[in-house]
Amino acid sequence: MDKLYLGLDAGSTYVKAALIQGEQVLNVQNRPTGIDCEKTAQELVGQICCEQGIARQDITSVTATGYSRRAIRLADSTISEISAHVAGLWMTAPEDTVPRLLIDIGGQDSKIISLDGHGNILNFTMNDKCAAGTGKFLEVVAQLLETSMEEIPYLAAQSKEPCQINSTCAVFAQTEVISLLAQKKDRNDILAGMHQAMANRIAKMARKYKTDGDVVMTGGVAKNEALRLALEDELMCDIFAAEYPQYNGAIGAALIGSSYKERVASL
Amino acid sequence: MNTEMNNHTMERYRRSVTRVSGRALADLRGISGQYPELDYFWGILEDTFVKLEQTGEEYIGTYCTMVPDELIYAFGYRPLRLCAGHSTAASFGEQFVPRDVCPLVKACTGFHAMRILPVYEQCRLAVLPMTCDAKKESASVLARYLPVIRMEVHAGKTGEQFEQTVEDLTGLVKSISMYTGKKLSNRLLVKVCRSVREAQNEAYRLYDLLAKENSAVSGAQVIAVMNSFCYDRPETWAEHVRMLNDKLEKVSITENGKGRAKPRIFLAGAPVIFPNLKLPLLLESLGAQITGDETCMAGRLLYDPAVPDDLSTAGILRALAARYVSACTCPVFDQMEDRIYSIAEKLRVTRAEGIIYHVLRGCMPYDYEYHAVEQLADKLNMPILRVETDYSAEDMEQIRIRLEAFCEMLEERRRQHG
Repeated sequence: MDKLYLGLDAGSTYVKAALIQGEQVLNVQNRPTGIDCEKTAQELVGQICCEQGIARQDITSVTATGYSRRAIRLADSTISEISAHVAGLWMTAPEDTVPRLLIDIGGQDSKIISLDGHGNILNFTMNDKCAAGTGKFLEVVAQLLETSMEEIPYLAAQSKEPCQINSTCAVFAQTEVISLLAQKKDRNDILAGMHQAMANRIAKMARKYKTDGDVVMTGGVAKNEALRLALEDELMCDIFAAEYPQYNGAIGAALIGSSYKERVASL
Repeated sequence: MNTEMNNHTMERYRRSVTRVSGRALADLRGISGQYPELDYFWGILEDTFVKLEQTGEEYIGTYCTMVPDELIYAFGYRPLRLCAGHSTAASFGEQFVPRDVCPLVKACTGFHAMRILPVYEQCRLAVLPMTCDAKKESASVLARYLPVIRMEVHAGKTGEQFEQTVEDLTGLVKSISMYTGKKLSNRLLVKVCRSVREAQNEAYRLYDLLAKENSAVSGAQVIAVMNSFCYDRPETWAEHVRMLNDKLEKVSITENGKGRAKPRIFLAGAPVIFPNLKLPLLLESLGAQITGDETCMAGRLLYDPAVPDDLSTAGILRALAARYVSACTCPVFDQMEDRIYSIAEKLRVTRAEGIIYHVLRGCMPYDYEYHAVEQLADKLNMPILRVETDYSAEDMEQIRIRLEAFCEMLEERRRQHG
């Protein structure tokens, strides 16, 4: 029987965990990071072990990634999120795709990673210093418009005349949205405009890379269909959402723990 | 009452400056591989930025690397690099120069206005080369605190412009003479040319040792050692670098070869100046090895030797014009080929596997030339990462993530290519 590997992605908003065996994802879980990341990670591992009916000792290795990875003492090793996300694609990229560009939109950052045809990193760009154009921005606006992250893609899809939104800053967007609401603009139009503004910002970072392969999107935001479509219009190409987009980093960390490269090489 | 308020404010700045500098020195002392030979360098940085000691010397302040140190010594003064790397001074400087100007210029004006750093207070005058726009404009701000001589820097490097530079240096000698009432001593000039040459030789040796596989000295240490050059006499500094080099050579023979080879990274772009050692310290804490740098306050500071073929003052001035201006690869010059060739050569010699390109936020010339360096990296099939930052610590974590991923990428490439 193949060995079990666990990956933990300790992000700014959620800690995600993925248990893998061979080429299969057995279990994924997430919890808000909270103030004690180590404790959250322990709870997640406990939950996964409980659901799978296994003991912690049955897991061959635990690999942590994400901002708070160094705080997780139960991990056997750590890896940067860039490497983890790229590794994750090996399992999560849709079948028949050859990912050459990875767009990961997390809670408080976004990453654009350029790859060669064999899954090796060529270069990468990250937004720095602020949370503009990240999941946090969507969350702030959703809250302001009295809706939820799950609802916003459907509401945006119903827009007839998207509003012009200029700021993707999580703080300044509030001022702009309040001003649009004061002008009696439709909520769906504001949401559609917001998705376009965000896609525009991400596309600026992504355009500098040549994409003669496929573009794959990961991160919790990849589940947002409205954003994916807005990005397709900005980048003028198809964009595929990865399987388990939110868990891509955790799956990648687990894969790195399992020395998947050696296995790929031996195939 | 007012004076008392000012004294309190000055005391607060003093505390802030010494705290930030002290922390950087603690970081330097915390790097594994502390040899007693390094104590001298940390000592002169500590005297200047933590103990705030008066040195009893008179300085002539300079910007950049175009004003020949030898000329200033030949007048009996000590040259002082005013280009500063201090976050406290940079924040203070925002009152006098625009907020979007690079932190280096902000810190320099900040230190002058703060009036707490003895070496700045001991400056008799400043010779400021007219390089980038921020430095040109800041000359009028500095002129509020001390006499300023503006030194023309010609954008091109033709034969005609070289002759103009020689004339400019001749004019500079007259101007310094006029301001100080002193005459340039040819005897001192010849003597100091030898001392600076000696310092250069030792700096070359130090960089050779840094480029060794699993070097016994770190890039952050070497950059700080180079930064300290202007806080003591060149012959004393050179003697201590010689002792350090001798030690490193012995350590390299006995201890080298231990452990896994580190990813080899070359540092290009804007200067790294004490106490802002954020980038090299972060890089090396992540397991990378800085193999060299082309920054003007470290790797380029003592790079090209001045080789006078006649020892008359006029002959030495020609040699100094050739060394300090013609050979300078600062991005303010209109041609960038020589800088690109120089970087390519340094990458080859130091066997670098990747380049970190440092952009100080607001520094346009270095940012402009990033694309040319990126093209060179593409040609050499070498990864390059542009890191834009300032002197504050607030982006440390974001930078750490990017540097860590860059190092992992280099290790992965090494695994693949053997």
